[in-house]
Parts: sequence; C-alpha cells; structure tokens
Amino acid sequence: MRRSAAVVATVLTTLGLAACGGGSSNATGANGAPAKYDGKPVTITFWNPFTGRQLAVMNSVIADFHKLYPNITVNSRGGITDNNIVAAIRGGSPPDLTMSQSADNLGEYCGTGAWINLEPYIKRDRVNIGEEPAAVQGYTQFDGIRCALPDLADAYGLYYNKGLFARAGITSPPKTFNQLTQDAKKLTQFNPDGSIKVAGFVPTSSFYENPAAHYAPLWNAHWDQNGKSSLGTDAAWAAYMRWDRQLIDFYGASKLARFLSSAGEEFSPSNDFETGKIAMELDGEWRVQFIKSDHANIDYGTAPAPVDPSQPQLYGGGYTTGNVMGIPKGAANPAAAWLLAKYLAFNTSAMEKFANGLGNVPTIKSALSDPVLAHNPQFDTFLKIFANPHTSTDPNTAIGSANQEMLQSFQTKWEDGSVPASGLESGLKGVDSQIDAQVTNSTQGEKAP
Amino acid sequence: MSTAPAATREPYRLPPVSPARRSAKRKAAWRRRLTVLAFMSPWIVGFSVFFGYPLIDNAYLSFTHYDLLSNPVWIGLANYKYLFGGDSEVWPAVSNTLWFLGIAVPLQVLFAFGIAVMVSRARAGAGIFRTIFYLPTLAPTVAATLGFVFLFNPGTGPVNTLLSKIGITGPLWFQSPHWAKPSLTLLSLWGIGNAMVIFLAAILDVPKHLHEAAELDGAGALRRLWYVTLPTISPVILFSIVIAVIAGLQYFDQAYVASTVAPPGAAGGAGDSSVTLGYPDGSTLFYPLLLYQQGFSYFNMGYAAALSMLLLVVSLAVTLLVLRNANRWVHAQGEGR
Repeated sequence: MRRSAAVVATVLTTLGLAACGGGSSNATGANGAPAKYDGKPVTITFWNPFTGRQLAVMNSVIADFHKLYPNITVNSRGGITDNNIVAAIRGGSPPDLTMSQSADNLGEYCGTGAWINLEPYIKRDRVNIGEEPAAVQGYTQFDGIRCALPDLADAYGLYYNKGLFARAGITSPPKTFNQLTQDAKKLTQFNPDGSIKVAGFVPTSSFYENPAAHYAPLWNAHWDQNGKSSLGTDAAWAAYMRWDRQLIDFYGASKLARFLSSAGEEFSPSNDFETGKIAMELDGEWRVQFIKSDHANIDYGTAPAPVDPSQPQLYGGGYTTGNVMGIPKGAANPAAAWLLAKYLAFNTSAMEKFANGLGNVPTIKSALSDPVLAHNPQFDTFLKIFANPHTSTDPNTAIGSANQEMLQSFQTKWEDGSVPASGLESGLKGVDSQIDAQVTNSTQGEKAP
Repeated sequence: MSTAPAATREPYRLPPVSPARRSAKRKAAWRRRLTVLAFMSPWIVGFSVFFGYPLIDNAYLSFTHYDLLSNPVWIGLANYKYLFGGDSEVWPAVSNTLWFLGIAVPLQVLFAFGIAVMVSRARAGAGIFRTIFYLPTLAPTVAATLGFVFLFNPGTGPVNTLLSKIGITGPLWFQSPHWAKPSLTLLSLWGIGNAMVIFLAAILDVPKHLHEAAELDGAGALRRLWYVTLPTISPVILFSIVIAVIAGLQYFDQAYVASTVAPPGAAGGAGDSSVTLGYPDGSTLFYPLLLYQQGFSYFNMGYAAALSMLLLVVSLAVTLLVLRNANRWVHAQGEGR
C-alpha cells in the first residue's frame, strides 16, 4: 500500500515538473504580456493550405525566416483544410501556427478561443495594424478579438476580352451594371440553332467567381444591420438580384444552363474566359498569373468591376478576402510561432516575394507599391482595387459562411425562375429569418448561464 | 401407468457434497462463464466502443451547444425546438429523402428482382450476364458518380449527344432541379448488383417440384412467379426492402459527389462543396447531407447530433413498420405457418 502511494506520488510529481518545464514558452511575462521567444533551438510546425508550386514559394519565404532566426526550424506542411485544423485543435496537439485559405471560419476560431487572441503580442511588439488596409483589418478579427494575421489577399475586378470588344465596337469597359448589360448583349453570339456560342457576361451565382458576396460591395449591399440579417431590408440586395435575373432572362435560363453545362473547369486552361467562350467575367487577381501560365492566346484587359448605376462613387472598389494565420490554443511554441506569423504578415520583402510568387495581392500598404507587381498593368488594376476605400469584404459571423450558402440556395431558385418576380423581397426576408434562426441556434450555449 | 405411493418408498437422496467439491464446481462454472466472455469480448468491446458509447454521447450532445472547439454547453431541448420549428431546411431535406424512399427504393428492389428473374431464366451465358450486372457494384461510389455526371452532362455528355441524334433534346440531368433526383435514381439502379445476386440465389433455391406441380395444374410463367416464386422468396424480398430503406435513409455519398461536381465550371472532385451541397436548388439536399452540413460545415455539432437522433428514431420506426407489415405477406419457412 505504502509502495503504491509512493509510486502515485512520484508520477504526480513528475507530471507536475513536466508541466512546469514545458510551460516556459507559454507563460506570460511579469507585466502580463506574453513571454518572448527565449532564443533556444526549437522546431515549430506550420500548417498551410498550399500545394505544389505555391507550397514551394511559401517554403522559400520560410527559408528566409530561418536565416533570420537560425534557431527556429519550421516544419511546413501544406494541403491543410479547416477540418484538419479543427481536428488538430480538438485532439489537443495542434501545430504552432496554422493558416486558413479564407476568413469564413474566423468567427468560430476567434469566438471560441480556438485561435488565441493576438492583441497582447501586437501590443507588446508595437505592431502597426494600420499598415493593413481597412478591409483586411476587418476580416482578421471577430467581435473585437483579433486572433489572426493576414498573408496575401485576393481582390476582384473585371476581365474583358479586347478582341471581342473591338469586334462589337465597344471601346471601354463598363462602369455600371446597366452598361455591363448593354455590352453583354452586344458581345453575345448565338449559334444557328439558337444556342449560345459566346456569352457576353454570365452572372449566374453558382458559376466561377459569381457568389453574391463578390457583388455586395459593388451594390453597397450589407449583410446585417443591428445584429440581424438585412438581405430583405437593404434594398441594394433586391436591386442586385433584379439585375442578375434580367441578364439571365436575356439568354433564357434554360439556354444559359445548357451553355454552362459545358463550361471548362475554372482553374484550368479550359476556363471559359481563357478560351474565349465568355467575353467578360468577374474574377480575382490570380487569373493574370493563370492566363500567363496557361499560355492562353487571349488579348485581355482588366478594370474595376461595374457598380450600381445609382451609386457611381463606388467605382474603383470591389470585394476582397484572403489567407488568415492564427496560433491555435494549446500550441507548444506560441512565442516562436508569433515571430513567424509576424514575419510573414509584416515583413515587406517577405510579403513581396510571396505575392510575386503566387500572383496575389500583398496585405500591407508598404508592399502594394512593389515595382515588380505594379509593373504589370493587368495586375496593377487589382492593387488599386485593393487600396480603394470602397473595397470591402463580408463580415465574419458566428455561423461561418452559412449565411452566404443560404442566400445562394435562394438565389439559384430566383435565377432559374422558380421564384416569381413578385416574390423577391419576401423571399429575401425568408432567407433573413433562416439566417437569424441559425445564428440563434448556433449561439445558444453562449447565452446560457 | 401408476406410481407407488411416496410414503412406501424412501426417496433417493444424493450423497452430501463436500465443501471442496462445491467450491470446485463453482470455480468450473466461473471458468465456463469467463471462457464465454473471452470469446464474446471482441464483440462486446467493439459494440461498446464503436456503437454504445458513441450513441450515448451523441444523445447527450444533442442537448448541448457544441461547436467542436469548445466544451459542450447544456441547452436542453433548444436543438430539438430548432429542428421541429425553426430550421427551414429540414422539411425540404426530409421531402427529398421521402422522394428517394418512395421512388428510388421500390425501383431498386423491382429492378434487382427483375434482372435476377431474367438471369435465372437465361439458357446460356448466365454466368456472363450475372458478372455484367454485378460489375457496377465493384466501382467505387465516387468514381461511379463522377462517371455518371460526365455521361449525363447536358452539353458534352454522350447520353444527350445520342438523344440529339434521334431528335430528342435531352434534359439537364444533374443540373436541373427536376431531373437531379431521377439522375441519382438511375445511378442507384445501375449499382444494384448486390441485391440482384441475393435475389438470384433465392430464386434458384425455389424447389423445382413446386414449379412442376404448378405447371401440371396449368399455371403459366406469370402465375408460377406470383404463386410460387414470390411467396417462397418473400423473406429475401423483406430483407432487401429493409436494407434498401435503411440505405435510402442514409443516402449521402452519391448526392454529395454529384452536387459538388455538377455545378458549372466546378473542379472534378475538388472545390468548395459546402457552397453547392444540394445543388441544384436544394433538390439533392437529402437529410444526411443536411446533417453533415450542420456538423462539419457550420460546426454546429450539437444540432447535428439532434438531427442524427431523429434519423435513428425514424430508421427504427420505419424498419419496425416494414417488419410488422411483413407478417401479412412474408412466408417464413420451417415454422409450420
């Protein structure tokens, strides 16, 4: 009996000592600030979503970081999804730093504390968050908790086929959605049997980069007001939807669906814009790099996307979103992980190298003027869109992207004519109710005592 | 036969058992019990770890708010209230699943039975036909679904190309809210190999003398099928219906893959499926897909647990209903019924 008690005491003491020893890098300093990296050799794990060529670029930036901090070795693992991140955090052995390809789940990460609050680190190291454009500052926090840093963003604008424009007698890209509709009609070509040969512009929400979120800043449409979904109360949504349906009706919903059924895969050389099957499209800045890599034989231009005709001042802005990095709760080496995150997010040369390699938009103002990026006029358009004050993103929510998916579900019915024209507003209000109910259900526990 | 009065004969008494022998017997009984337990232990462990515990835990989670990242918080019946009164996606998902149960499941059973009858009557090449009809079952679900979406592509697929050659404008198949479920039904009919093989074995097992007797009584092929074959294989039909109904209630893989790859310009097998689940127009959002969406896309695991508890109860209820009604038409063998 006495021997058993001694064994238990020894085990408990050992566990206690081990806990104390392992906690040095997690501990907070005397003034409550997080502990600084102690300089001892350490290997940290960094999970990111990149694969192939993009992962190689990321790893070359990490190699530069290793030169700066030779005692920090980074074990970089690509191809990671949000489900992997969640599983690792739940399992209690998360990586030291993780990256998600979108900010859709940031409400979950920040709200639950799954990614730690970075404010103490930002404050301690006097990091200037103002270096990030306002939209980026917005999508890296939730409910006042900044649990993420950005690392490259996407900005959305209009791509147009100059050859098809010239043939149709169009001299400049459209600036409003009315002009876009007129140009789309001029650019559309039909086969003798009446089927579509070339579509001027395809607004279908399930096609390529057309979800409603990408159009919201162009119509100044807001997702919520006073904590409630505002799709049915903000008239901008109905205006956008009506424009969307009018253009689809021009083609004929069934005819357009048949045309789109043979659309090439978006991220491949058979992309319909790259093959000349559509004359204009809303797309991200990455298409510039894709067109170059795919050797697409296309004479094209880029411009800010058109805007609501009644709000011409919005022209120049657009939608943006980007990669977000966070330190998971329970990370073994948060101090070293913070150094890597800070390097990737705020070191200008690292940002420029990564942005050039991936063909994405840098997320700090000092890198936006990088001469290599700005040298390409087609890409420069997106740098300007990104810096425009009217550029915005969708707000992070407690239900992730569920609100967007619920709207999309309604919008596909609206687009194929299943919803009568008179039912638009009531339909949008129905989606509001659905979103609000989902938010209420998803936040039940938070309200519980 | 009479027996002697008890008073006249001394009853036989067993010699008293010594305590040592009693103890040895008790030990032997325990050894027997432990041996049985040891042989059963793999099942007991498997059942407890992989079914019992998850079921109990799932039932508990259905009364909590659980986002996978923080600890579950007890919220009472809130998830069930949302399920029955707040979530407008539930009824469309239920009606999609009921459609599948009402249309696809009976068709699967009928089709498998029909093929089995035809193969059983083949005079030559029965083995080849059996292999041909069974082969689709060997195709992985994801690959088969991808293949079907390609074959039925309205613009480039060979099915509509062939239809156009005979002057028919093919439908939009997986890209039409009206045709998506029938397209999935076609896919499910293509893969009925397992049920077909079971039916075939049962049909071939029907005693020949019953057919011969019916034939002598003047029964034609249809009457023999109705009065001899069907009653004899009715337990197998019941088995197939129960299995198909349960599979129909849990229908997920094919609908998930199809709604991921069918949208225009979607990547082949990759892409952000969360946005397109149920494509088009929610017509393929079956109940298990809604459950998956809530649990793994919206991280609303407590509510997903409530959805799964309802699915369990409905599955049990439907299965019991089928089994209860089965007494009217299933002819069990060897029970003198």
